Amino acid sequence: MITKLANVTLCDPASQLSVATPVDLYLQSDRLINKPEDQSRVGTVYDLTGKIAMAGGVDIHTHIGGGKVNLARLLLPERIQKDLFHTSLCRPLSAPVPGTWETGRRYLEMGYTACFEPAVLPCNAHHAHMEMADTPWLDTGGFLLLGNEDLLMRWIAEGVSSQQIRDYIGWMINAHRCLAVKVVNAGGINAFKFNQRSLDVDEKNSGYGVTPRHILRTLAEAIDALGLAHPLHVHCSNLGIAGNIASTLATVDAVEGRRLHLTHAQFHCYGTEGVFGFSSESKRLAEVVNSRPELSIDVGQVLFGQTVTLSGDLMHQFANRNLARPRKQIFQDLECQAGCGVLPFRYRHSQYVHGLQWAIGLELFLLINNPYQVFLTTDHPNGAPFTSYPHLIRLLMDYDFRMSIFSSLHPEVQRMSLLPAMKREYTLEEIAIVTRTGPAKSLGLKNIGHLNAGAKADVVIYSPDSNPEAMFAKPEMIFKNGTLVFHNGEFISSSSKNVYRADVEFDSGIESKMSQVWDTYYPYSMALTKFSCDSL
Amino acid sequence: MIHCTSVCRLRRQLLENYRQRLLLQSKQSVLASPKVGASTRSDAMHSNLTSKYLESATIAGRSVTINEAIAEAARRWFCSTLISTHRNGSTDSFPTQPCNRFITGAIQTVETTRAVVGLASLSGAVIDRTESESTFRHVLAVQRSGMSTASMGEIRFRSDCIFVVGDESCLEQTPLLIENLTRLQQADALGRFRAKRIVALGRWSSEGVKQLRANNNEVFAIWLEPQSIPRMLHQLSQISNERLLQSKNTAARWIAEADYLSVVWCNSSLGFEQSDLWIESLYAWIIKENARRRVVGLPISGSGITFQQACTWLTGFPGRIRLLEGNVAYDPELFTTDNYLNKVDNVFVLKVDESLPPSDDFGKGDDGSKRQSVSRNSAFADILIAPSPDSSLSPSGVFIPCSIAGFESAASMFRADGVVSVHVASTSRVTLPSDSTAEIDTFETLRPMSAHEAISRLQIGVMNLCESHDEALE
Repeated sequence: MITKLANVTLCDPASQLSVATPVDLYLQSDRLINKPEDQSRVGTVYDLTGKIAMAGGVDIHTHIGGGKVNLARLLLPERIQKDLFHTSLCRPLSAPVPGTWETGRRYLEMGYTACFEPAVLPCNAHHAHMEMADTPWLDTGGFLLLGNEDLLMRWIAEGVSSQQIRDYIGWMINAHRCLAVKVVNAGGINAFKFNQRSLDVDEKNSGYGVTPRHILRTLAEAIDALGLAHPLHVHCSNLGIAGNIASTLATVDAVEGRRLHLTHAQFHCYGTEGVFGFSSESKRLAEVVNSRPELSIDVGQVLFGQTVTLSGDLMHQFANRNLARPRKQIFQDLECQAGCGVLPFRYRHSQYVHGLQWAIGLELFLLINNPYQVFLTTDHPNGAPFTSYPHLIRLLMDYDFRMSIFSSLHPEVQRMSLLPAMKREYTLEEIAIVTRTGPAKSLGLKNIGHLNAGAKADVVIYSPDSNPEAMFAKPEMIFKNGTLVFHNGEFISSSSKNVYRADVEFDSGIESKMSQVWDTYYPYSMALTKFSCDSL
Repeated sequence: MIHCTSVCRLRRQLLENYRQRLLLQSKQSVLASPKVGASTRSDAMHSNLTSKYLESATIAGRSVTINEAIAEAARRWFCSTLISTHRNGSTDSFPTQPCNRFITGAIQTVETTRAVVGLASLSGAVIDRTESESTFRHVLAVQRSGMSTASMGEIRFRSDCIFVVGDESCLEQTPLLIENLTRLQQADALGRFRAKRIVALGRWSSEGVKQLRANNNEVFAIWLEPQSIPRMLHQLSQISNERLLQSKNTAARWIAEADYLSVVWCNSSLGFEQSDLWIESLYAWIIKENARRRVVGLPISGSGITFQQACTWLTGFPGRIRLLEGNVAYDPELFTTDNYLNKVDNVFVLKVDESLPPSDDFGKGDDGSKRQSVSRNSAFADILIAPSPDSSLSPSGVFIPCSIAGFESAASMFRADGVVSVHVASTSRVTLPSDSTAEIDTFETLRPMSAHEAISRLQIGVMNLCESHDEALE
């Protein structure tokens, strides 16, 4: 039977239908379809006059599964002991990183239907997928963390062929059921294991003599050769360090014109000006992004309050250990592949650096002209919990609201920031791009992020509201896979879930080359690496 | 709080989900092909355990069908009283709980943890895995001040010196530990090969030291009571590295010379009071040392690590939780097996045991002996889901046989360091005495269901009863 959403106003930048006048949407099974010839096949009809329809939200970078996420839960048992079923909106999470059940509910009630874990370690991929499988309602996918594993470092140092590297990456993506490749502080996590405390883009890893530039170029080249839709997803070197704009721009140069996605870019565009030696370089980064269509970023917006930072960038997490609030931390070296650091953190209005980070994130949003090159994220939970997205949307859409918060920041932030001069306000359509259409397009997922016929029937219905925060915090109805799962603040049904993964082609002969060195690094069988998504 | 109608709707939805999941699982078990080859271990297992396949379900000692046992277990679970009383009648020492259903046992797999949490979410229960005392001493230390660790593979490849503290229980609990940590000589990026140095500090016998010497490791053992180790580490930390390097004490020199020092211990060996403080001070030392060189810890958590991981992602807490009406409460001091078996009366106990060999005790006490808490009532389990009945089953209890996870049924499990998780296919299907199809058929027919499947069926039974109850109320 077909479900009809009648007289709804579309907010869909990719739409082939009229966005000016209300239209009818038709849902059959888990797909959107064209208007059926035979109207008798239409079953349920929802009159949505005056309502706005968007595709389900897509979060391209949110930490929702895997070892470090679970470590953050372990480290922070303190929480609000309120029930999980409370339905008032705009409330905080019970903890910076809640259990999977709460994560799924809270994402869905904001209208998000697909989320992507950006740091899946090979040794931990099965865990990450199991955890995401237990996150209800959300379709999920993972980005495989490469570029610090000893096996790859060794091969790059030995100068093996680009074909071998390409096959290796292809095998790893297929075996670990991932969608894209992420690199965190290329070679830096590995260097920390050799007791190196910093690694710039052209500095050699003391263990292998390989530079981050070399690693970045190698990975970007392999990803293009494999035909992966999403470009190399890069967490740059020198996270959070004053003056790191130089290494961020060097990272862009390192891939020699290839596609690149800079993740949580806000943490990577700092200068050294001002009385505190810490300033915004958002303008420089935005200029580069505006001039190079092959680049995209997600922002990693900071918002004020208690959270926890978790990152594979152990080198910099360890360096920041004294900033932890409360004062406790977890560090791990992981299986010759990567590492992780977990630090609880409180962003404060009155603190200069935190205030400037808040401003830099917004500057990036407002300075990048093409919304298809910038995606809305807080790098959950690193910049803020994902539940603050409606608040962030209001900051982007409402200049006066933005300035009301800006005026409460440290005076030096108010003096240094470019924000007051930026009068731009995001339109609803631009919000749809940065929260749905853009991320889906960047990931190469043609069936989500829009409402054209053939798309997955993930539809969110909003009531227009002069306060965008209220509007985006409280969708009226949510259809997932064509089923009404959320209505008027109540969860009324569960839904099946999808795992998005890339299926790339590579020379299977790589297995024998890998098996010759696998045992040197990993005391678990290569055969146990592979798993089926069905087993989750 | 969620409305009653929503509860009914969600229950119906959950019921449907579980029905579909069970259907899918049964299809998969038919289609699944074994991915792991036969091992000598599982060959031996097969001959030892074949008789256990013939175990039948029982109610009060009377043989019944599985369906009857599950139906009866569901009825008893549903009817179990919601108000508990104190054993001693006082409400001062131990607050009255609104829920006295208690789930315990040697839960070994992600799937069973999911099922147990699902059952508790549906109808309210307290969950504490057995043998969790030592795990929680470590958890408490981490929750207070954090930790710095490395995985086994990292240590094996990178570490030049391993500092094993405590006693030999780490070798008992993880027999392949030394093999996993030292099998390769260190081959660093510059091509240098060095044998590993091992400093053993604590109660080590000559046999234990011999095991450490495997793979040409150089071993230096110092006999010391584990309680004294933090003091010794504190003393170590007060001495400059230069002085340590010149020390005549071999252990001190090795520790000071290490580029990548690994401190390994077994949580269950820290059987003395306030060992969480011991762990905390050890981690503090490790993190302090990392300011100038690389030092990592490796706590061996034993088989409870899988439950801890899965329970953490499902509920946000590593265990010792109470699930009731959508709320999760965590209290590592209150929701313990000891408390629920010794201080609360009228506790309705579901014990789930899928371990190898089947566990019939509640772990070791602080002195290393068997925990005495079960002496309160050696037959305490009202429902037992295990490969074979054991002394914990109450005479009037319900026994539901299940397979051994990872051998007779596929399972997702974590390695002892909690980092690597794998989906282990059933090995028993390829460990038959012969490859004859007939024997495979016989075996398949007799193979019991997995623990998580049993719990899921129990949950469906409870949900059906809830539905009937709700309908009657309406």
